[in-house]
Amino acid sequence: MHIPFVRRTLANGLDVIVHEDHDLPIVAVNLWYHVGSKNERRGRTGFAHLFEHLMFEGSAHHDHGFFAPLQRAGASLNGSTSSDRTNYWEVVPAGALDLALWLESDRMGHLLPALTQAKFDNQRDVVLNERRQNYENRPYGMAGIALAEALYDEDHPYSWPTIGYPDDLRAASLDDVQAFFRTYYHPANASLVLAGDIDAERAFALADRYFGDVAAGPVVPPVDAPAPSLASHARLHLEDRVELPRLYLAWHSPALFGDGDADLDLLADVLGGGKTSRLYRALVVEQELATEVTAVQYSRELTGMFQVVATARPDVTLDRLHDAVQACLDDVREAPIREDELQRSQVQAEAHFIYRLQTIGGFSGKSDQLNAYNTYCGDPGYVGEDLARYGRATPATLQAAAARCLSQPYVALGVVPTGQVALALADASQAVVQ
Amino acid sequence: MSVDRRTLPVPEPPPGIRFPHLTRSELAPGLRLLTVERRDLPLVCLLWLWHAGTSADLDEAPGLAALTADLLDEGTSALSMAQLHEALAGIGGQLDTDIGHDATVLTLLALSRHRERAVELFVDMAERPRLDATDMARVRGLRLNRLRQLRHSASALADLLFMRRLYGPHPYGRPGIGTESSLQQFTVEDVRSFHARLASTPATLIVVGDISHDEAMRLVGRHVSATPRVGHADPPVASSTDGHRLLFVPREGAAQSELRIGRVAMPRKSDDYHAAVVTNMLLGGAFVSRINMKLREEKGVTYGARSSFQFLRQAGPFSVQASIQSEATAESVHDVLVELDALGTSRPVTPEELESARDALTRGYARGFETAEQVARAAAQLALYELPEDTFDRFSERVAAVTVEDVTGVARRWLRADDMQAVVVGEPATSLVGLGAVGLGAPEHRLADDVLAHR
Repeated sequence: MHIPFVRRTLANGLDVIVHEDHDLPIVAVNLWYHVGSKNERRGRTGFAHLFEHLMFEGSAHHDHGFFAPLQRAGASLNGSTSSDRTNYWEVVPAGALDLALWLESDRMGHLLPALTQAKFDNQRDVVLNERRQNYENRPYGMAGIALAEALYDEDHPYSWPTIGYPDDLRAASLDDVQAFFRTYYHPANASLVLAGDIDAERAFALADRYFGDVAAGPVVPPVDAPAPSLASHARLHLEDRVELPRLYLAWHSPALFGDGDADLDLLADVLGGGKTSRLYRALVVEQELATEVTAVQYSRELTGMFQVVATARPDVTLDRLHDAVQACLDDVREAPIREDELQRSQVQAEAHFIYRLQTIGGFSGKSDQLNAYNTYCGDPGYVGEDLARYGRATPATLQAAAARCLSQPYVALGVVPTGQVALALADASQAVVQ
Repeated sequence: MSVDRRTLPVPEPPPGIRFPHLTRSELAPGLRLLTVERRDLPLVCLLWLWHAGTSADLDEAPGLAALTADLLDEGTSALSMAQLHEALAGIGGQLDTDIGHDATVLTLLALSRHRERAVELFVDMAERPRLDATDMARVRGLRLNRLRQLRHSASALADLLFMRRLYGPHPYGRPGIGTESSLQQFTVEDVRSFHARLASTPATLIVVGDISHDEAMRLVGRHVSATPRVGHADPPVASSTDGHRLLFVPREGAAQSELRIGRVAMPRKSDDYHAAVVTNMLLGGAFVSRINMKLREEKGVTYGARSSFQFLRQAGPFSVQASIQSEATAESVHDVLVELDALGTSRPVTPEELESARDALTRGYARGFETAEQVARAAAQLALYELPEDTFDRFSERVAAVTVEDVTGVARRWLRADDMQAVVVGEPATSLVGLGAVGLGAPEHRLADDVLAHR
C-alpha cells in the first residue's frame, strides 16, 4: 500500500509534501508543527493547546478571525493539539488554495504583532470552558488526567494533560506565550502537505511563494525524557458523578513505531475490539460483569500506554472486575493467541488503512497521514512499512510483547459514584486530580 | 518571490459539482436498490434503510425500535453472535446501526475482495436476525445500564427533555432510547414482532463502491426476501406544545450549564428548506455565525454554541445548543433570544452576511460526497424524504437564489423569541440567578430521574 507523494524542503527548512488526487475539485492544506504539550513544563501547562486557539484569531496582515474568509470560500477547517504535535488543516475548493496558503503563512510568519491581551484573555476563557465541558462536566471526564498523574513521574511531559491545568492557564502571561511561539512555530519545526486537485509543480511554487520568506527559527531540540517506569502497582480511586463504577488499568508500553507497538495494537484488538474480542466475550457476554470494555495501545512519540477500561454492571465490585480482566490477560501472557484471531485483527488493520484513504483532508485523511509519517519518522512514505509491521506479527510476537508489557507494575484506577468510596478497589488511595 | 500581504487572495468560483449517478432497480415490491459504482478504492459500502424509526414505537412503550436495532448484529438465523462478528471482522467489516425518528439504518463498510460474503452477512442481519431470548435479555440489560448512566450526562438529559418539552405526546417527543419501565416490559416476542413490522415496511438498499450495479443486483437478489413491503403510516403532523417555556434540571456542583433553546419548526419537504439552511448558517451553523461569535468570541463563556434545523418527515425542531459557564447562564439565554429576534426585526441579515453564508454552503458542497459512506447516506436522504433525483445537483442554484427577504421571512416565521422554549441543566445556586427574568417565565424544575425513569 502506498500514498504517492513528492517532497521538497524549502530553504527555511519547511518540508513541503504534495499528493495529487483529482477525483474532486478540492485541495487539502495540512500543516503540522512538531510541538505539543510534551514541550511544556510543569507549572506552565496548556500553552500548546492555547496556541492552537490563538492562531485562529488573526495575524498581522489579517487581524480578524481566521474562519470568516475561509468558510466563505467554501472551506472546512480545524486544528488540534496532542502531547506530540499541533495540526491545522483546511479543505478548500481548488480555486481557494491561494487564500488558505496566504492565511496559513501569515500566522506562521506574522502572528505576534496581532496577538493582544484582549484576544489572549478571551481564548483563555474559551479554553477554560472547553475544559469544563469536556472534562469536568462529563462523566468519567477526569479519569485520564488522574491516570497520567499516577503513571508518569511529576516532571515527565506526559504527566500533565494537553488542555493544561486551570491554575497554569490563569497564571500564563502574554510574554510567556510569545516566547513559546518564537521557539516552536516556525518553518524548520513544521511540515506542510498539499493533497488533492493540484499539479505538484504548481503546489511547490505556491508553497515557496507563500512560505518561502518566513524566517527560519531556532533548532528545536528533541524532548528528552527518561523511560518511565513504575516501582510498584498503584491502586487509586476517584469520585465522580457517575452511576456505574469503572475500572482503568494502564501499563507503560512501547512508543509509536517502537518494538512491539504494532503487536500490542493487534493484541488490543484481540482483547477489546468488538464483540468477538476476548474481554467482551468474557466480561460482557459470558460472565456478565461489565457493560462495556475496551483495550487500546495508545502509542506516542516518547512512550506508549496500554490501557484496558471496563465499566462494572450494577452490584459487581471493581475487585471482581479487576480479577476477571487479569484472568484474560494471564491467558495471553501464558499462551499464544489463536492464528484465526490474529488474522482477523490483521484484516481489520488493513481495512482501516484503506478506509482512511477515502478522504484527502481533515483529521486522519491522506494529508494528515503523510504529515504524521513525515513528522514522526521523517518519511512521508512510511505507510507501506507501517502496514507491513502488522503483517509481520505472529501469535508468538504478540505473546512476547504481552509478556514484556503486561508483567510490569501498572496503575489500577477505579472511578466510583460520589460519596461511595466503599465501591473502590480494596486498599486504593485517593487519586490526584487538578 | 514574496507575496503581497496587503489584501487577501480572491478565490475563483469553484466548478459545479454533480452528484454521482445513481442506478436504480426494484428488487421486490417495496424494496429498492440504488447503486453508485466507484472504483478508486477496494471497498464497498452497504446501507439498508428501513423507512421506520422510533416514531413507529408504541406510545406507551418507547424503546422497542431501538432495542430491535440493537439486536440486528446479535447473530443471524445461520450464525451465532460470535460467529457473525468473527465473519465480519474477517472481511474488514465496519458496522454501524443508526436509529432515528423516521428511519432505521444499518451500514457496513467492507473490503471489496470480500463483497460476496459482505452482502450475504449484511442481508442476513437485516432480514434474518437471530433475535434470541437470551441475547435479548443481555442486550436489554446493557441498554438499561446505559440509560442509568445517562442520568449523569448533562447534555443527554438536556436533549431528551428538550424534545419532550417541544413535542409532548407526539412521537418525536418520546425518548427513542426507551425508559427504565418500558424496557423492562419488552419480551423477545415484542422484538420479533417489531422486526416483522420492519420487514414489511418499504426499504431501500444502497450499495456504493467497487462493484457494478449488475453484480450488486445479483448478489443481493440471492438473499433478499420477495415478500412485498407496503407503506406505513407517517407520524402525525407536529406542532409546539403549550405550557412552561423554561425547564430546569438541577445538577449540583456542575461546572457548566447545558442549554437548549428552540421550537418545532419545519419538515424536510418544506418550501422554506433552502432559506432555512442559509438562515441557520449565518445564525449558528458555522464558527463565524452570529451566536457563536457572540458567546464564544466576544464573551468567552462557552467552548462553542451552535444552532440547527433538524429536518424530518414531519416538522422537526429548530434548536440552539451550548454548554455555558454557570455564572453566565441567564445572560447567555438572554443573548441567544436577542440574536434570534434581531434577525427578523432590528438587525436583518446584511447582504454581505447573506452572500457569505450562501457561498460557504455552495462552494464547499463538493466536500460532502468524498467517501462511499457520504454518498450512500446522501442517496438515503433522497429515498427517505422522497426527494427528486436532481436534489443535490440543484442545491447550489437554490441556495444562491435565497434573498434577504427570504431570510427575514424565515426568521419572522420560525425564530421569534416569544415562541421559544428552553431547557437548562445546571448548577442551581449559580445558574438560576436571573434566569426567571430572561422572558421565558419562571423556571419549572424537573429532576433527572423524572426525565429517564418513566414517561
